[in-house]
Amino acid sequence: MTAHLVAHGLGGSADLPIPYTYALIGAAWALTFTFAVVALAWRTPRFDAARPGRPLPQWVTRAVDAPATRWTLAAATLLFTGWVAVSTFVGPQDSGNALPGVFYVLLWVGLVALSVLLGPVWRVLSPVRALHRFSGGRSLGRTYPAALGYWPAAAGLFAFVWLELASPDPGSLCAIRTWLLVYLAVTVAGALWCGPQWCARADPFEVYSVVASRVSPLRRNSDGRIAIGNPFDHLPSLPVRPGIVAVLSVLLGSTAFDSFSATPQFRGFVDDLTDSGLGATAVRTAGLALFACVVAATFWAAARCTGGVDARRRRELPGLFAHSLIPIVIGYVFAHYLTYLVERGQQTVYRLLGQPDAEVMYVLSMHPAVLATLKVGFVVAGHIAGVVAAHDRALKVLPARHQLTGQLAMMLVMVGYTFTGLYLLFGG
Amino acid sequence: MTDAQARPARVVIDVTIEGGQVTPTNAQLQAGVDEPIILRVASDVTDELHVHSTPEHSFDVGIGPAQSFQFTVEVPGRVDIELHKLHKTIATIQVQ
Repeated sequence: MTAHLVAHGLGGSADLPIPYTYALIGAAWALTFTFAVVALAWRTPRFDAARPGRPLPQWVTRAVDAPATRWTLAAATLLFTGWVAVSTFVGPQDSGNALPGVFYVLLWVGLVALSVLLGPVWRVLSPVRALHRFSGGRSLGRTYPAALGYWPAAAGLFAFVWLELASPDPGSLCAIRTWLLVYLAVTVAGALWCGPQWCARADPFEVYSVVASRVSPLRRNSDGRIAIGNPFDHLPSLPVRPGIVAVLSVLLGSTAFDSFSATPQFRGFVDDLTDSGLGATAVRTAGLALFACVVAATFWAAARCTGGVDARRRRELPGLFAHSLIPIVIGYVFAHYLTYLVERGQQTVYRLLGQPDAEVMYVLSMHPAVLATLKVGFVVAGHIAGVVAAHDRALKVLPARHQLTGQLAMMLVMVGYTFTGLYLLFGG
Repeated sequence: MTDAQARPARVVIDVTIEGGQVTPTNAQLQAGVDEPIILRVASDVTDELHVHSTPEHSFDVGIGPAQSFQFTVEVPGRVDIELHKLHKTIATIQVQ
């Protein structure tokens, strides 16, 4: 199986219940109206990461934090990892193998869905953390260099999307195994070097999980108790460290590039430029990097584009607004990959269980109009939430006289993202 | 069978592989669910045709003119037809 393992071309523009241009224009207006309404009617900040959620009964926290639960989960994680490792070698060595599905569907998309529902689950599901736990938590005890921030995670995420979207054969078992071995080696070495802090800042999947978990209604209060609360209060609790804008730009840029690279125009362009597989990989790599850089540059510039702040504050602004990209990223991930998660996910689980012929329920694909509507819904809802989160943050960090004008650039950038996103999803 | 149908009841794609060049590439077509799709291939090399649909199909292309492969797609969506060794996408079919 070659390039289009994760092609997800269901629910194209022809499936929308309304003409595609209406959806596009409607979405841009929805966003503009949201901005107009919040700009006029919403004059004081309402969201606060420090506001406690409504606590769940004490036994929930006790059960989740119980050492027995943690040890059981760690053991289950290691068993599952071992099982996947074995089944990829004893299973069929072609497109019937379970590994690509585990890697691209269960890990990449399933992790986001779980994190949105439950919180940063990779902390308990990470095989490296489990190994670390079973080895008695030993490490060299060095401190993780603060300046590195989330940069290693951004690089890891880029390596993942590179394999998926730019490498010569994304479905190749050998390529995926190599990728996973390098990931495991780097993460184990990092955990040995500076303990769990490496996992928290440099493991791409853990950082992705933490990012996605910020839109979850479930969170922990400052006393550690598990609580349920407004996700808008949860969003600003995203830790701002060096590289956080890069992490989000890689995630957003890669989803856009995923749609873009599947268009006949881009494929024709690549074929015209080069005949060799390596040449095509080079062109796609450049395209992927360009998409991530454009997202990063536009967001960075828009966040800084305000009056009345000094140079130091201006430098901090992109990081302070970074959390407003999270709902946008999550919206796109679901718009792009929901069918894959639901349908390929079933297939992958059956393959893991050694039942490759079990019947998959194509619930979403069989209802293209529902699917297309869901896609527009995810994208638009993600952007509206992004605009609201950015506005609330602007009220907090921008000087009073510049609160409105200081947000205009961000608003334009977000309308641009919506337009481009919907265009790529449906029109491209 | 007298109804005037909006599109022909089957889709036919003529594919030529000659001297490492494929025609067509990146063609865009439409088809219906369970509608027969026929690939007529003339080739001077052996290769594999992969149809990324549900269910998936794979055909061995031999050397010679007038090789015919037929398949149907059961689940709506976008289906890529690729030449495996040449790494070329022949067509993308929107199945509705």
